[in-house]
Parts: sequence; C-alpha cells; structure tokens
Amino acid sequence: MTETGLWISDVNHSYEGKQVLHGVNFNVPAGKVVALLGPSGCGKSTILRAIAGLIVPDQGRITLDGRDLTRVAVRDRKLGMVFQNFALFSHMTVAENIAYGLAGLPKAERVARVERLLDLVRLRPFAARFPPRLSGGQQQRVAVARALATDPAALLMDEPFGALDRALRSELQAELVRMQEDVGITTVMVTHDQEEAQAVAEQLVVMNEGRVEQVGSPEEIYDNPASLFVNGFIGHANRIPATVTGPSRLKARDETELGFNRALNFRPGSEIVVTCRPEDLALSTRPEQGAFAARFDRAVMMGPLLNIEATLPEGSQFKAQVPRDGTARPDRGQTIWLRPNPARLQVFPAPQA
Amino acid sequence: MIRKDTLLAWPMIAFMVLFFLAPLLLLLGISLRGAEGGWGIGNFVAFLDDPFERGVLVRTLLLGAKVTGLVSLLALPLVMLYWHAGPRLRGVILVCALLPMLTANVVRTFAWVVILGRNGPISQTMLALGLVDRPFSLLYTEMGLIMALAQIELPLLLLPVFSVLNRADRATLDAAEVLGAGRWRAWFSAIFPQIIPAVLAGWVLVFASATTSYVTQSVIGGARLIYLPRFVYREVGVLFQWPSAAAISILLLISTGIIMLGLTMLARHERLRAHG
Repeated sequence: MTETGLWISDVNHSYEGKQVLHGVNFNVPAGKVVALLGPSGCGKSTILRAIAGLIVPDQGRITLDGRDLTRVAVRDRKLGMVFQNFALFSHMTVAENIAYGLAGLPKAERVARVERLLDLVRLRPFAARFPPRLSGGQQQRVAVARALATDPAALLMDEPFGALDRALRSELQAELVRMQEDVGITTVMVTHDQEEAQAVAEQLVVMNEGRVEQVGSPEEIYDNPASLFVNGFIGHANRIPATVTGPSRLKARDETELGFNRALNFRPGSEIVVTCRPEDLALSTRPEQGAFAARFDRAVMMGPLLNIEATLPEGSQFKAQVPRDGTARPDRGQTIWLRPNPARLQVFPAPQA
Repeated sequence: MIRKDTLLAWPMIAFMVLFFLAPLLLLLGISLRGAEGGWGIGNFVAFLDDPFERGVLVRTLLLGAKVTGLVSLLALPLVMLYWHAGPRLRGVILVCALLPMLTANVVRTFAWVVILGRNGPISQTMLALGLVDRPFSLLYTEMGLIMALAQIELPLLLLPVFSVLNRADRATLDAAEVLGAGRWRAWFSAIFPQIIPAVLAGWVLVFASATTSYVTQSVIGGARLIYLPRFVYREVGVLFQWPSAAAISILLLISTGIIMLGLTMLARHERLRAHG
C-alpha cells in the first residue's frame, strides 16, 4: 500500500559537526497544511530544505505520495517552494517569473497556465511589471504563483509572511488559506510565529533544538501541551515550581496548597512545575483558598479584558487575563490573590538543573 | 543658498573644479586655436581627415575592445571558481587577483617584455614542444600587447564582480533549482543577472585603462604600433603642436566617453536596475 501525503521518517542531520536534526518524524496528510513551528535555530528550516532537496540529510527517509524523494535531485522533485524573501528573479517580469518552471511546455500551454495563475493570485494587471516595482504583498503572491505554476506535488513555504509588515500578514494569511483550499495542495510551512501557524495550518509540528516536541492540531497543542517547552512556546504559561504532597495534591514554594480534580502521575515528594494560562487565573483582593499571593505591578486594558502583571514573593512574574468587570483596579504594589482553575493546570517534571 | 547637508561636499567640488574641470576647459580652449592664430575646429578636421591619424584612433578603440574581450574570457572561469569556493579558497583567489595591482606598472610591463621575448618562456616552450621551428618574439606585436594588458587589467574586472558575489543572493539559485532548472540555466538566471552591473563597471575600467596605458603600449607595442596616448605625446614632446595634441586628446576623451556612457546606460536598464 502506498501512503499518500508527505512522510518524514527518522531524519538526522549534522551541519559542520553539530547535529541539527535528531530523528525527526512527522507526516503531512495529502491536501493538508502543516506548520513547522519553533524558535530560530530549532531545525525547522533545515527540515524544509531537506524536503526540497537543497540538502541531503545524513539519515532518514522522505516520501511523498509513496515516492521516495530522499535520493532524488532537487530539480526532479517537482515541488513548489516559497522563500522567505521570495527570491524572485528581479530581471524578469512577473509573467516571466511565473513561467520560469514551465520551460518544458509548448508556448501556448505555458501562456495559458501563466494567465490562470495570474488570475489565481489576482496579479493580472501587473504581469509586465518587474518584481522590485511591486509591494511586499504582491511579491509574495508572485512567489506563490511561481511555486504553484509547475503543478507541484507539494508546496513548501519558508517563513512566507516573515518579510511583510504585520497589518498585511493576516490579510495574506486568509488569502493563502482560500487559495490552498482551491488548489488542495499538500503544504508545509515553516514559521516562528504561533499566531500565523494557528491561522493557516490544520496541524502544527512544534520543534525545539532539532527535535519534534509535539504534533497536533492547534487546540490539542494549546490545551494539552506535551512538554514544558511547548506549553511556554504556544501561548503564555505561568510557571509555578512545586512539590507533590499527595495523589492529587501539591504544594508550591510559597506554601500555597493546590488540590487537583484528577490523579497526578507523580510520586509524592517529586519536584514538578505547574503551569497555568493567564486566562485561567481568577483575581481577588482578599486571601482565598488555593490562591497565590502576589504583588500587583500593572494592568493593561485590552478590549473587554484586563492583562495583569504581578510578581510572586519568590520573584517570578505572573500574567493574568481577567474580564473587566468594573471593579476598581488594585494599586501598584498592593497584594492581590490569583486563583488558578485546577482543571486547567498542566503538570510537568521539574527541568533538570 | 548653500544647503547644510552639501557643505561637506564643497572641498571635493572645489578640488575637482580647480584641478580637473579647469584644465579640461583649458585643453578645450587650446584645441580650438588655429595654427596661424584665430579660433576654429581646424585641428579636429585635420585629424579626422588624415586616414593614418584616423586609423590610430580606431586602432586605439579596437585595442580597448580586444583587451576587454580577452579579460572577460580569462575572468569567466575565475568568477565561476570564486562562486563555488569556500571562504578560505575565496581569500586565496582574491589575493592572487590583487597581486598584479600591488606591483608598479613599469615593473609589470618589463616582466612581460621578458615573457614575450625570443628567449622568453612562451617562445621556448613552443619550441620545445615542436610547435614552432624557430624561436619567435611576441614583443612589438599587437597580440603580445593585448596579452600583457589583459593580465595587468584583469583585477579591474574581477574585483567588482567578486564583491558582488560576496553578497549575492543564493536563495534565487535555490529557487531556480527547485523550479527544475539545470545547473547552467539556474546560474545564468539567478546569479549572472546580479553580477552584470559589476561586469559593465569592470568593462568601463578595463577599456579606459587599456586605451590610455601609455607605458605598456609604448614598451610592448614599440615604435611601429602607435596608439593615441603616444601619438599625443609625439605631438607635444616632439612636434610641439599643442593645439593639435589638445584636439586629439579631446577626441579620445569623447570616443571613450561615448562607449562608457553606453555601457553605463545599459546598466541602468530596467531589467538590471534592481541589482545595481
């Protein structure tokens, strides 16, 4: 049976003696968008270049719709790629750029295909322009059209919105989603921007230091992070170092005791880190059971919400997001109590020091 | 009104006016002086009317073109090597390319006198290989002169091209390969357009330098091969024909100027401007 979609199996790679990919495994279902997400230097671009064939990984296999790509030369892989700075040929017009990969086709067919792509990315009036004369968003669309022109088996995108300003990004992200749905092409996108990944991709692959930390839908990754790293990288996570005291009880450094509604997979006495999303904290100006005392630093209004920054007695920063319910804001330096929702807490083993 | 931000440019402008523009205007003035006093373009007409003298101008411009052509042929493999080389080899190539520039022009020229001579390595090697029957000399031939000038002026083309290659955008090359282009097509569509402005700048330098290299032209070209710089020198130093020499200088300036202007305008073409 041939597996459809893109499969990355046990890929290892070293660069100048330093291992940058450690047994990377994930797959992209046919016709879906997957985002490789991680901080810079986590190996996500290296994986993308390995899929494109711009580097040959030391070990591992890359297959696309059952075809083993690992030993296939770049130019024979028949993939489309959008580069970070678009890498357009600035001495060629928009139409010539789009036609670049179509050299083997008869002229009439080539012209017809270029016109269809110009319509797809809505750049027909700009066909005769040179790329440096276009705006960043238009250049990005030329790059996408050029990559799709060859009817590739998969589309690879390296930080496709990285060179654009923020206001333009969300608009183009929506456009990309629309286009991807039209074309239905298997797509891998590399990004360091979690909002971008969540906006465009159906599945995220979170990477750190050359390893895949977690694969899952944006909701799975946000709600059930597999590691402390993923928890802190996707959204904000307040960290509370604590010790397990019972089957579903633990005690934080500041002696605050927390009860869980589920059993902890840790032996009593284990050092752990509990994390809590800002929106899962409730604010109170009076001491409460299961709440952390903290010094109020400042609050920033954001629409219907209030973003609160506070400092715990041991010095760690806490962020909380609460509804603006009309009550008076605490004063700077005043003690407040932040009570986490036990059902939404995540527990991880304490990182090795 | 003098704008504040142009203030720093004024010493340079004053220097250029005083020592470049003023002498040039003086030269133009002298060139318009008639032989028996009075003013006119007689000197120009006389030069262009004489088939021999006109031939010297044409030969000088052709020399520039031939040297530029040979320099380009020599530079191409070096540029390719430089592009594919790692940082260490790039350093070595750069130093090798620069070496000729670190030697005085007269020394370089006399080294070529030895190389091109009857007992020089070229003649002796070909003799030893049985390619020729007797030793020969390339000295005082245009072929020898073109070879010498090409070697001396190679760095003028290489340096601007190397500097562009150092900051060339490799992503376009990757893009071309992903789109299915073969090695050569990828290089010529991704990297070559980026270096064209540098190539044109290099050609301007090589051409200007080859057409005006008085020392090399005189020493290797000898007395039989006359080019314009030496012709001007003869007018001034031997015949004391200042107005005529001035007119010839102006003509050389105009004709090389037109060629350089053409190359520069080519570099401003819309297809190339992005890389300039």
